[in-house]
Amino acid sequence: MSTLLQVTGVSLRFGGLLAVSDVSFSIEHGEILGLIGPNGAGKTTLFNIVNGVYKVDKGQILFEGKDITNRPPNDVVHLGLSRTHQIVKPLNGMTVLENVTVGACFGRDYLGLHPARQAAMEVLEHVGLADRAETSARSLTIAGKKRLEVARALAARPKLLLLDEVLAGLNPTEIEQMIQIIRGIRQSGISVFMIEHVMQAIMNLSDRIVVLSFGQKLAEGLPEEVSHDPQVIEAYLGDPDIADKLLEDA
Amino acid sequence: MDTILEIKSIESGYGEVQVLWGISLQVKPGKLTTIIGANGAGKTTTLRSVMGSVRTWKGKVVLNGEDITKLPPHARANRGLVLVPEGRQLFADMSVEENLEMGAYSRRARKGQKQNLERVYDAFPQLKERRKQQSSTLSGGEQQMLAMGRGLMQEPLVLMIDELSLGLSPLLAQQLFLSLKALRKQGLTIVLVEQNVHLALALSDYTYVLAEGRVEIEGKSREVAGMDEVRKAYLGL
Repeated sequence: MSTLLQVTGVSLRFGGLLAVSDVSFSIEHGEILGLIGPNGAGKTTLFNIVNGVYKVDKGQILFEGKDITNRPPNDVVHLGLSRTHQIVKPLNGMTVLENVTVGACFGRDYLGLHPARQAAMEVLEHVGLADRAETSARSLTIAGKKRLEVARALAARPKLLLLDEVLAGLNPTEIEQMIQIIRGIRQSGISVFMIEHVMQAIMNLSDRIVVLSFGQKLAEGLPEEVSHDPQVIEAYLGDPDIADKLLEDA
Repeated sequence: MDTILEIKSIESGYGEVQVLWGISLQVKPGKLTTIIGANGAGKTTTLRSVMGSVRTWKGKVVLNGEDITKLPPHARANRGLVLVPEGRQLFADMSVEENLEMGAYSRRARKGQKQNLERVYDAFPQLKERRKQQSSTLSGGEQQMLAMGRGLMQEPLVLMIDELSLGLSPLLAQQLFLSLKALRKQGLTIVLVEQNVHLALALSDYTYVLAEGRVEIEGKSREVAGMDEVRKAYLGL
């Protein structure tokens, strides 16, 4: 395996708040890297940094060895880095196929409309939406919209796909189906960087996990290691000594 | 022992997103029951379903033997079900005392208003000192006390509190937890959602651990405290 994405010491400040503080990690070719952390830890902000929505105050991002620090999303997508959004953002006035065609047109390759439609149709097969191709995006269920979000990002032919909570709001059957879709994506050679709160799923899917807390990298390692790391446990369950401190009768 | 509040396999959610997948729990009178679980596990939705501010799709909510599943929130409040919501939701432009009076708005609580006000001021002397002060000018901890006080004004049969210590300094959190302990000692039935697991377990009699909209673990808090499954419910492995 070789390194696909190398993030070194990135920091971003929003006013007085250090939203992301000196975070470093890397993603190897063919890897699924999970990103977890309590609410407000800075996970989505880190995504926004990696794909260029936010400019960093400090740090460097290398993609396939190329410096992409502070290059905008419409630029990095051509290099092979695409993403989904936590709150799904379908183009509501368009059909499912048209939505995904847009992803193909403006993706890694500048595809013309005809080949883009063809590429889009193939992606829809992969995510199990082919039979909904001609329906309007608006009319999809939440599970359908999540798949559409993944399909549109996939149609951009990424080398690295960023998935922001694609399992949130799905029922157990739909979660299982989405897990299979993600496994299929990785099998096709695409690396995945994913944020997820459905812990069992992300722990089982990821090769490695990065844990953020208050904007800092708290831990990194195999799912087994991370889920037993005392610091990680404290970030999720709270200070273990706090009960003794607070409940003794003052 | 009797059950004062029973939730029978409720399912619920928002729009087309289902959050609760069959939650059952029993609240015993005079006990402090706590609900813990990771983000998105369904803690707040459970409290809202019990209160009726979120519709219950399936299952039943039974208060004191009466099926209240179909009742609107105000009717549930009239029967003594009280929710201290996350984020406090005070009337910002009203004074401390006016906020407390709003808590006695329901028919069941009007009669005892004077007495209850004294009781609240006994429990939270700081509120008495600041009773003329506009509620939005209180500190975070005082606002949380006021939200609890407003709840107490309703003469709760069951007092449900969503995130007691969230965003508070340790010192303020301590004050609130000690007041809660005192209320529990006086025989009040309390259901608490609390983000600090260790604190919730130390404070309560009985604990439910939710994960992904289901009850993952339940038991006496003392016993749950030692279980590695609690960690697993939060971290998946």
